[in-house]
Amino acid sequence: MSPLEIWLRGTSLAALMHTRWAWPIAESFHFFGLSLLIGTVGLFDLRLLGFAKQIPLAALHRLIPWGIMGYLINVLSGISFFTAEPDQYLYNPSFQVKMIFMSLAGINVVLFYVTMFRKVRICGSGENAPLPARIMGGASLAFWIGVMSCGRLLTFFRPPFHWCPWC
Amino acid sequence: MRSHVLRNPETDAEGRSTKGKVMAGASLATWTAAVAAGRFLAYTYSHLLAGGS
Repeated sequence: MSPLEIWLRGTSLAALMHTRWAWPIAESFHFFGLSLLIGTVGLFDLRLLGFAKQIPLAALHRLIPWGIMGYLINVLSGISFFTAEPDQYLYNPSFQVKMIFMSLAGINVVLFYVTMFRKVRICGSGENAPLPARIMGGASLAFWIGVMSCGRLLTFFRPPFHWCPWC
Repeated sequence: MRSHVLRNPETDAEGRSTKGKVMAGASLATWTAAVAAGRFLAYTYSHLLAGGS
Protein backbone atom coordinates (compact mmCIF):
# COMPACT_ATOMS: atom_id res chain seq x y z
CA MET A 1 0.00 0.00 0.00
CA SER A 2 1.42 3.41 -0.96
CA PRO A 3 1.92 6.19 1.63
CA LEU A 4 -0.88 8.17 -0.07
CA GLU A 5 -3.33 5.29 0.40
CA ILE A 6 -2.32 4.85 4.04
CA TRP A 7 -2.79 8.56 4.71
CA LEU A 8 -6.16 8.73 2.91
CA ARG A 9 -7.49 5.71 4.80
CA GLY A 10 -6.57 7.37 8.09
CA THR A 11 -8.56 10.55 7.50
CA SER A 12 -11.82 11.29 9.30
CA LEU A 13 -13.58 11.48 5.92
CA ALA A 14 -12.60 7.84 5.27
CA ALA A 15 -13.91 6.89 8.71
CA LEU A 16 -17.18 8.70 8.00
CA MET A 17 -17.52 6.94 4.64
CA HIS A 18 -17.18 3.56 6.37
CA THR A 19 -20.25 4.15 8.53
CA ARG A 20 -23.31 2.14 7.53
CA TRP A 21 -25.22 4.57 5.31
CA ALA A 22 -22.59 7.10 4.23
CA TRP A 23 -21.60 5.24 1.06
CA PRO A 24 -25.12 4.78 -0.37
CA ILE A 25 -26.03 8.38 0.56
CA ALA A 26 -22.90 9.65 -1.21
CA GLU A 27 -23.74 7.42 -4.20
CA SER A 28 -27.21 8.95 -4.34
CA PHE A 29 -25.72 12.43 -4.30
CA HIS A 30 -23.30 11.36 -7.04
CA PHE A 31 -26.29 10.40 -9.19
CA PHE A 32 -28.17 13.63 -8.39
CA GLY A 33 -25.09 15.57 -9.45
CA LEU A 34 -24.79 13.52 -12.60
CA SER A 35 -28.46 14.14 -13.42
CA LEU A 36 -28.06 17.89 -12.87
CA LEU A 37 -24.93 18.00 -15.00
CA ILE A 38 -26.16 16.01 -17.98
CA GLY A 39 -29.67 17.47 -17.72
CA THR A 40 -28.36 21.00 -18.18
CA VAL A 41 -24.99 20.79 -19.95
CA GLY A 42 -26.25 17.91 -22.11
CA LEU A 43 -29.33 19.90 -23.08
CA PHE A 44 -27.15 22.90 -23.98
CA ASP A 45 -24.89 20.62 -26.04
CA LEU A 46 -27.89 19.22 -27.92
CA ARG A 47 -29.04 22.76 -28.70
CA LEU A 48 -25.53 23.59 -29.96
CA LEU A 49 -25.81 20.57 -32.24
CA GLY A 50 -29.01 21.98 -33.71
CA PHE A 51 -31.79 20.25 -31.75
CA ALA A 52 -34.74 22.31 -30.43
CA LYS A 53 -33.65 25.37 -32.38
CA GLN A 54 -36.72 27.32 -31.27
CA ILE A 55 -35.08 27.70 -27.84
CA PRO A 56 -32.56 30.59 -27.75
CA LEU A 57 -29.10 29.44 -26.61
CA ALA A 58 -28.93 32.24 -24.04
CA ALA A 59 -32.11 30.90 -22.40
CA LEU A 60 -30.64 27.41 -22.08
CA HIS A 61 -27.37 28.83 -20.83
CA ARG A 62 -29.20 30.17 -17.79
CA LEU A 63 -29.47 26.54 -16.61
CA ILE A 64 -25.70 26.02 -16.65
CA PRO A 65 -25.19 27.12 -12.99
CA TRP A 66 -27.28 24.07 -12.03
CA GLY A 67 -24.90 21.93 -14.04
CA ILE A 68 -21.93 23.50 -12.25
CA MET A 69 -23.63 22.72 -8.94
CA GLY A 70 -24.08 19.11 -10.08
CA TYR A 71 -20.41 18.95 -11.03
CA LEU A 72 -19.35 20.24 -7.60
CA ILE A 73 -21.61 17.69 -5.87
CA ASN A 74 -19.94 14.98 -7.93
CA VAL A 75 -16.43 16.21 -7.20
CA LEU A 76 -17.16 16.19 -3.45
CA SER A 77 -18.86 12.79 -3.45
CA GLY A 78 -16.16 11.40 -5.77
CA ILE A 79 -13.40 12.61 -3.42
CA SER A 80 -15.25 10.89 -0.58
CA PHE A 81 -15.27 7.54 -2.42
CA PHE A 82 -11.63 7.90 -3.39
CA THR A 83 -10.55 8.80 0.15
CA ALA A 84 -12.37 5.84 1.71
CA GLU A 85 -11.16 3.17 -0.73
CA PRO A 86 -8.22 4.57 -2.74
CA ASP A 87 -7.00 1.15 -3.95
CA GLN A 88 -10.40 0.56 -5.60
CA TYR A 89 -9.76 3.54 -7.87
CA LEU A 90 -6.03 4.23 -8.19
CA TYR A 91 -5.25 0.99 -10.03
CA ASN A 92 -8.57 0.74 -11.83
CA PRO A 93 -8.26 1.28 -15.63
CA SER A 94 -11.87 2.44 -15.81
CA PHE A 95 -11.15 5.18 -13.26
CA GLN A 96 -8.00 6.22 -15.12
CA VAL A 97 -9.92 6.52 -18.41
CA LYS A 98 -12.70 8.37 -16.59
CA MET A 99 -10.18 10.96 -15.39
CA ILE A 100 -8.89 11.34 -18.96
CA PHE A 101 -12.45 11.96 -20.21
CA MET A 102 -13.03 14.48 -17.40
CA SER A 103 -9.83 16.33 -18.33
CA LEU A 104 -10.86 16.41 -21.99
CA ALA A 105 -14.31 17.72 -21.02
CA GLY A 106 -12.63 20.41 -18.91
CA ILE A 107 -10.31 21.49 -21.75
CA ASN A 108 -13.33 21.56 -24.09
CA VAL A 109 -15.25 23.84 -21.69
CA VAL A 110 -12.32 26.25 -21.42
CA LEU A 111 -11.89 26.32 -25.21
CA PHE A 112 -15.62 26.93 -25.67
CA TYR A 113 -15.75 29.88 -23.30
CA VAL A 114 -12.52 31.40 -24.61
CA THR A 115 -13.27 31.09 -28.32
CA MET A 116 -16.98 30.57 -28.95
CA PHE A 117 -19.16 31.78 -26.11
CA ARG A 118 -19.52 35.40 -27.31
CA LYS A 119 -20.67 34.22 -30.74
CA VAL A 120 -23.01 31.62 -29.32
CA ARG A 121 -24.64 33.94 -26.79
CA ILE A 122 -26.16 36.08 -29.53
CA CYS A 123 -27.69 33.08 -31.34
CA GLY A 124 -31.41 33.62 -31.17
CA SER A 125 -34.38 31.38 -31.69
CA GLY A 126 -34.12 29.31 -34.89
CA GLU A 127 -30.44 30.09 -35.50
CA ASN A 128 -27.66 27.54 -35.80
CA ALA A 129 -24.57 27.84 -33.62
CA PRO A 130 -21.27 28.34 -35.53
CA LEU A 131 -19.67 25.10 -36.73
CA PRO A 132 -16.78 25.09 -34.19
CA ALA A 133 -19.32 25.52 -31.38
CA ARG A 134 -21.35 22.61 -32.76
CA ILE A 135 -18.24 20.45 -32.83
CA MET A 136 -17.46 21.43 -29.23
CA GLY A 137 -21.05 20.60 -28.23
CA GLY A 138 -20.75 17.15 -29.81
CA ALA A 139 -17.36 16.62 -28.17
CA SER A 140 -18.76 17.67 -24.79
CA LEU A 141 -21.61 15.16 -25.08
CA ALA A 142 -19.19 12.41 -26.11
CA PHE A 143 -16.80 13.19 -23.23
CA TRP A 144 -19.56 13.22 -20.60
CA ILE A 145 -21.00 9.97 -21.95
CA GLY A 146 -17.47 8.57 -21.67
CA VAL A 147 -17.23 9.79 -18.06
CA MET A 148 -20.56 8.16 -17.19
CA SER A 149 -19.74 4.89 -18.95
CA CYS A 150 -16.36 4.59 -17.23
CA GLY A 151 -18.01 5.40 -13.89
CA ARG A 152 -20.44 2.55 -14.44
CA LEU A 153 -17.65 0.16 -15.46
CA LEU A 154 -15.54 0.95 -12.36
CA THR A 155 -17.01 -1.91 -10.41
CA PHE A 156 -15.87 -4.50 -12.96
CA PHE A 157 -12.20 -3.56 -12.57
CA ARG A 158 -11.90 -3.44 -8.80
CA PRO A 159 -9.10 -5.33 -6.98
CA PRO A 160 -7.68 -7.93 -7.44
CA PHE A 161 -7.65 -6.29 -10.89
CA HIS A 162 -4.54 -4.09 -10.84
CA TRP A 163 -3.55 -1.65 -13.56
CA CYS A 164 -0.61 0.55 -12.69
CA PRO A 165 1.43 1.87 -15.64
CA TRP A 166 3.41 4.15 -13.29
CA CYS A 167 4.32 1.51 -10.67
CA MET B 1 -49.48 20.02 -17.13
CA ARG B 2 -50.48 19.77 -20.81
CA SER B 3 -53.53 22.00 -20.50
CA HIS B 4 -52.15 24.43 -17.92
CA VAL B 5 -48.66 24.92 -19.29
CA LEU B 6 -47.86 23.29 -22.63
CA ARG B 7 -51.06 24.20 -24.49
CA ASN B 8 -51.36 27.65 -22.98
CA PRO B 9 -50.00 30.15 -25.53
CA GLU B 10 -49.74 32.79 -22.80
CA THR B 11 -47.39 30.73 -20.62
CA ASP B 12 -44.25 32.63 -21.62
CA ALA B 13 -45.90 36.02 -21.31
CA GLU B 14 -47.78 35.29 -18.07
CA GLY B 15 -45.00 33.46 -16.34
CA ARG B 16 -45.40 30.12 -14.63
CA SER B 17 -48.70 29.25 -13.01
CA THR B 18 -48.79 28.03 -9.42
CA LYS B 19 -50.31 24.74 -10.54
CA GLY B 20 -47.54 24.27 -13.10
CA LYS B 21 -44.89 25.00 -10.46
CA VAL B 22 -46.43 22.51 -8.02
CA MET B 23 -46.49 19.81 -10.69
CA ALA B 24 -42.88 20.54 -11.70
CA GLY B 25 -41.82 20.37 -8.04
CA ALA B 26 -43.65 17.07 -7.59
CA SER B 27 -42.00 15.70 -10.71
CA LEU B 28 -38.54 16.67 -9.45
CA ALA B 29 -39.25 15.21 -6.01
CA THR B 30 -40.50 11.87 -7.34
CA TRP B 31 -37.58 11.49 -9.76
CA THR B 32 -35.15 12.35 -6.95
CA ALA B 33 -36.79 9.68 -4.80
CA ALA B 34 -36.62 7.18 -7.67
CA VAL B 35 -32.88 7.83 -8.15
CA ALA B 36 -32.18 7.49 -4.41
CA ALA B 37 -34.28 4.33 -4.14
CA GLY B 38 -32.46 2.83 -7.11
CA ARG B 39 -29.10 3.60 -5.54
CA PHE B 40 -30.13 2.12 -2.18
CA LEU B 41 -31.24 -1.18 -3.78
CA ALA B 42 -27.81 -2.75 -3.42
CA TYR B 43 -27.69 -1.92 0.30
CA THR B 44 -31.22 -2.81 1.36
CA TYR B 45 -32.26 -5.88 -0.64
CA SER B 46 -31.23 -8.30 2.10
CA HIS B 47 -33.83 -6.73 4.43
CA LEU B 48 -36.54 -7.89 2.06
CA LEU B 49 -35.36 -11.50 1.84
CA ALA B 50 -36.78 -14.14 4.18
CA GLY B 51 -34.06 -14.87 6.71
CA GLY B 52 -31.85 -12.08 5.36
CA SER B 53 -29.93 -10.10 7.94
